[in-house]
Amino acid sequence: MSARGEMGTHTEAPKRESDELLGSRGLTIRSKLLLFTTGIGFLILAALAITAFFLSAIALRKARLDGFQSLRTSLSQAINTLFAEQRRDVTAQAELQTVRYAVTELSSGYEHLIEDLDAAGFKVDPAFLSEVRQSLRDAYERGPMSDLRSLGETVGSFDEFSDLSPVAAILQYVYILKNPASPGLKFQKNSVLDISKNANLPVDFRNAFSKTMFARAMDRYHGLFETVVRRNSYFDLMLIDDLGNVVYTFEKSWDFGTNVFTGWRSHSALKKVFMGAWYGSSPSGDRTSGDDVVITDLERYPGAYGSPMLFLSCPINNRLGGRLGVVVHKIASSTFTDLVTFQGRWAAVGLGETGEAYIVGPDLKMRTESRFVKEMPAKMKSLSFEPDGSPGPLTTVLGGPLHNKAVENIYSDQVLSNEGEVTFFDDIGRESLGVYEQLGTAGLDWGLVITISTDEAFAPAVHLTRLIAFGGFVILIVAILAALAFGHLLSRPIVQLVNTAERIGSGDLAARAPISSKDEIGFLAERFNYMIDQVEERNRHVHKILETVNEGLFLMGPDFIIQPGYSKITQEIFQRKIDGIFFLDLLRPAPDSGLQPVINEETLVATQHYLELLLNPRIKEKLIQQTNPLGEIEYKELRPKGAQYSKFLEFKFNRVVEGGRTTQIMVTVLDSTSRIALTRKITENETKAKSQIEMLFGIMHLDPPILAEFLNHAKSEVTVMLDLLEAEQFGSHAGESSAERSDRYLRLLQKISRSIHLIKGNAAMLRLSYFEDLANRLEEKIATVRGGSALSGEQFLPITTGLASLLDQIGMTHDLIGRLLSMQTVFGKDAGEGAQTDFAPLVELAGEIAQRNGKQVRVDLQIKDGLARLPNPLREPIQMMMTQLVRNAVLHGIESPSERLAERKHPVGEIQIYAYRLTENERKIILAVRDDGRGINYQLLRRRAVQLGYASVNSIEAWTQQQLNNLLFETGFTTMDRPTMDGGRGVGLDAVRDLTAKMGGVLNVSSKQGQFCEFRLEIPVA
Amino acid sequence: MGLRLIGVLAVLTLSGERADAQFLSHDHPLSGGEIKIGMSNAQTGRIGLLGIEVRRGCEAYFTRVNKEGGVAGRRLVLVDYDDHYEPVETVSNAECLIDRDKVFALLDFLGTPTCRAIIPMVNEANIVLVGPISGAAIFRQPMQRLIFNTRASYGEEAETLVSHLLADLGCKRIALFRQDDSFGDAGRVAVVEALRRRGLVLVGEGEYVRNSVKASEALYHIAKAKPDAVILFGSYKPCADLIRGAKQIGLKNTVFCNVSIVGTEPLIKYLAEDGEGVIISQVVPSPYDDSSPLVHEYQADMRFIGITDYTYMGLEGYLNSRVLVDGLRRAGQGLTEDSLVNALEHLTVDFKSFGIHFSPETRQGTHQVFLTKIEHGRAKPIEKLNPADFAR
Repeated sequence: MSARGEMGTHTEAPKRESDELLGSRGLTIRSKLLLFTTGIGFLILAALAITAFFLSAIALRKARLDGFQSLRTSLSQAINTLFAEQRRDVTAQAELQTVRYAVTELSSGYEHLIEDLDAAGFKVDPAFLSEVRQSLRDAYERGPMSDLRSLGETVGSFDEFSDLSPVAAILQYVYILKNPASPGLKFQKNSVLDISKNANLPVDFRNAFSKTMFARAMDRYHGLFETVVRRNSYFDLMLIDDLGNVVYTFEKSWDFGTNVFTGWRSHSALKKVFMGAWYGSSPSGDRTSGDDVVITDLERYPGAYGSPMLFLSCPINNRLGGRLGVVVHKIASSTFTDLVTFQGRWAAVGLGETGEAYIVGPDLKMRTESRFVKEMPAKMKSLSFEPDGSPGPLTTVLGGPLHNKAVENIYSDQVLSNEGEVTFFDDIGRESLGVYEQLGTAGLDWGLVITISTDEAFAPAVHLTRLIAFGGFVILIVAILAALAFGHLLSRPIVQLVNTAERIGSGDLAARAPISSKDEIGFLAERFNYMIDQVEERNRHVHKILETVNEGLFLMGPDFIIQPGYSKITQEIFQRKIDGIFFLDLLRPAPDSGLQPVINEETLVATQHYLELLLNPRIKEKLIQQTNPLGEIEYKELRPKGAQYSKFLEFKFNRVVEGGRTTQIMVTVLDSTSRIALTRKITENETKAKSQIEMLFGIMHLDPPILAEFLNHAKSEVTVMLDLLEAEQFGSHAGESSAERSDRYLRLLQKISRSIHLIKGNAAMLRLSYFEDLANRLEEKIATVRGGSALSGEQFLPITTGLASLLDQIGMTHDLIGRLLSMQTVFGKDAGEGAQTDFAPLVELAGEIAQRNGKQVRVDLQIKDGLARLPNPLREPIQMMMTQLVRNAVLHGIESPSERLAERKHPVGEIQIYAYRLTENERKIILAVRDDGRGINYQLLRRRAVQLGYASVNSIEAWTQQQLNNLLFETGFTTMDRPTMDGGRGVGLDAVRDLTAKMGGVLNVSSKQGQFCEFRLEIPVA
Repeated sequence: MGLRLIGVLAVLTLSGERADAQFLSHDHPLSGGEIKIGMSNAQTGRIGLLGIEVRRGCEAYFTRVNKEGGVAGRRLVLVDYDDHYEPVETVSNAECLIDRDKVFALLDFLGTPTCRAIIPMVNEANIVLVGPISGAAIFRQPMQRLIFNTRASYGEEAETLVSHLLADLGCKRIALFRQDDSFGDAGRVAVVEALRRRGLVLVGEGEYVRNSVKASEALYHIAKAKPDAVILFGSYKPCADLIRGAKQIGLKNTVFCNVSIVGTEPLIKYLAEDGEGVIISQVVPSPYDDSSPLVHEYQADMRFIGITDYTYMGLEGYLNSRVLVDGLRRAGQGLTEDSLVNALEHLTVDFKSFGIHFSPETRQGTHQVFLTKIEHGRAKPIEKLNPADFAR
């Protein structure tokens, strides 16, 4: 607990601290909460969105691929089924007896057509054939040859290209060229009846042709095959005989009637499929599933204007195993394109907007039409042709080879498995997700790819992510608003608490935090208020203490600056506010204070030293407390009207230790003025009582008349002095300069001084130490005044009081003596009948003075001629003068015993006092005081004279001994450096001189340095 | 009705009257200073890795022969076509080789269905086919005069496998994985016959379509039978797919026995670690072991054309080329199809531990079957199956 904190009331420091606190506080709880909510919200949102995206993307991918895989399975099944059915059908058809008959009859009719025509009355002459060929040439040139050229094929001449036998030419002439049915529908109007009525044909020819075996066989079997083709939705069904003649096609396109080994057929799949079936296919009865049917991959087929065609074939055997021919199924790509394009209902099978399924071959070219044929690069597309040979739309079937990962994986030798799923860039540059597999169709190394762009595949994930992001954003906004509101709710009591704390910090201890909730913060506010109650309570205690305590009580820091908060009395003691003051300044005079310390610099230094020691933790507090230099410090208190009082203060210091360190010093100030005054009064009273007793005892040994005489003399002297003082006009006389006034005062002072000295001398002689003390004290006062530079009237005030006091004492003693005298009368005892002479006290006086000054003397009294008792008018001045001279002799003449020994003298100095009547003239008395001391040191006198300004250094040498001797009697002249109780004030001898002069006597001095000094008085006796 | 009767009669009449049409040229005259040899096999597609190796072996030897001056001063020219292992292509290629390219002999046609399709063509064109790479019986029984077999039959391979499976390992539950065509049929006949001789039958059978790569459906049928061993008549991809699939579904103790035609090196490649312990019967010695003079020369001639990957198929192609060239050399200057047939049917080529020997009575030059087991990614010749290798 900090004392400072307790006392800290209305000050600047806590305010500043709270400001710093506010500054370093940074963010408020509300903004932190907001930041926290926002940050966490965004993090959660981002995490949620990312997680949602990835999870849903993974799930979507999986779902998509699962869907694709089942689609792949069903598609490959469908395609394999399609081909399996075709194989089964073509095999079954090859086994059909009707087909055997058909191929045999058609082949036979084909072989004998020219003969049959001839027999029917139409001679096939070169001219007719030429005409037929010519009309066919036109059709070929316009149709297949032109189309193939546009596909970039080398076609050659019509003859090379078509290489039609007469029979082939006639059959194409009849069934295709002159068939009135529309292109693509040439399978119609094939009956004998139709031909016989076909106006396009020459009448004789058509009559003859309709009678041929071929026409009749065609008529007979076409209906049958039409039924088969229509029921199975075949594209075309062909019969090729054992010579390679295409004796029947359902469709009647440009392969009809031709031979597979001639013309364009010799390079076509038609020949391949015929040969394959003829040689490679299993003989009937030994059919194995894999080899019973021959199949060729999709190829451009000149017979269909270069449109891609696929062939299946199966040999037709007779019952002996001999080959009758081959059944061929011609299949256009549209058959399986329809399968994998779902008739355009892609969305229904989960392929959406960008998905598709397609089939590729080992040449990496497409076998089906792409859904995105428009978007496909040109090199991947090729021309297509309508059934009449007119150009159709561009197609991707057998376009350029694809270059994508899915297709490449199907045909990769690098991996074992040629099926799987892959994310890849397709041939129109879209990132796609796909599944692929080899179809496993017998005879066709085809692959199936099902794909969809990842954009679409993962669109739900993107949507979901967007939804989550948007929803999350909305939630976040709500959360932020909630956080704001909550933050406000949460921070308001805290802010109130802080405000309260600040108010308290600035001294308003009455401030209390409002308790607005029952939660932790409410509890905190409650506890806070409780704490403040406690603090206030303690503060009140402290205040009470500080207000009530009678001592000055304050704290200062290690810098000795007084800290705020001190006891009330402190301010009264020092009469000012002291906080912030350097402690030592309290001990120095302050210009604006009514209280000025009386302290010397040494004490200040000692104080500083003491305080530093106090801060030194190695020094025990108790140890140094004894050395406290400020136990009693006097202050002068100036009151209005110039009155001045002393005030004594006692400072006590105590360490305030915090954490083992002295952080502050507690200072207790006690106003001890009254105590000291009391002590002094007691001492004074004691002294007074003592001195009265002393006086009482001091006067007992005296003859009352002597005492009375002393008292009377002293009384008169004092009265004179008081009169003089009273008579003196203190203040300025008109026309008087300050120097003159000062001089006047000085003269007065000298008079008083001399009188007092005489009183002191007499008192000493009579061993009236009480009076001696009084006089001495008065003398000291006078000396103090005289020591001042310029004299003023006021300075005489203490002298006046001192004299008044002396007069009182004299009066008191007088009364006392009076009472004693009356007692003497009563007791009948003459106290004054002693053996003592008037000079006897001088012996005692000399002894006393010697003892006081560390000297030893022996007084030799040589009193003659009845002078032991001096006549009355003379006695008092003589006693006075003798006293001064004896005093002078002991003090200035006699050396200390050690000095005397060094001078080879007896350690006990001898003072001879003579008193005798001059014989020749008995009217004069000789009085002398002779000592065997050091004599007058004229060199010292000269030096002293120069020092005291009686003469210059040069002139002093010229002075005679007499002149120098006279200096001894000058007022204020002394050879001693400092006065003592016994002398050295330079007033003793001048009084002797004055008295001598007053009595009309002569004063002589004789001396020999180091041997003696003698003062000799010649006093006339009346 | 009457017309139909006439038709029927016509059919009978015509078929009796007219012999089978002949589409191929019968004569194969030599022209210039070269002998054209025709070849058609799968260079690409699902067994393309086999055809490439066969052709390399052939080219290696032809290069050497031509370097040494050819055959009786005639350079050997190899004309080869890719048939993707589809008979329809092989027929087309063969027709092209015979009629258009006018080759003198056919060599190294690969595969049962493909070779089978050209038997009529060979006979029709009267052209020699040396080394059809197939062990099917149709090339052997009845004897084809123009077809010279340089490898053991599937029957012999099946017999070897079955006998070792039974004798060495006691495997009685044997299943068959086969190609669904004449190749698979030939294999089936061979295995069934080998089992029949031991009073056993197939416990399970699975098929795959030629030139397809998946064996999942077959695996279902085979796994259902819980076989001790599976004999595989198939090409490397479906066989690898089956073996891997079987191991994945837990047929870990089943012994898998392939026949030579599978393609040893591609099988090992695709099986990788799943290949360890898989058995392959071989019809030529190990191409990695040059202690045999045949292999030694094969490796040297391969190195000469810059190839150091030696394969069983390559060695077979090389061997066939040697046999053909030896025949051509024996036939001498006045080389005709007949003189070649005559030369070949008296030909004996001996490579110490392995040899080819024809006679007028047999076109089966060898019956030797070699057993190998895949160990550390390589086919290692073994004498018998070690039960310790097949923890059962």
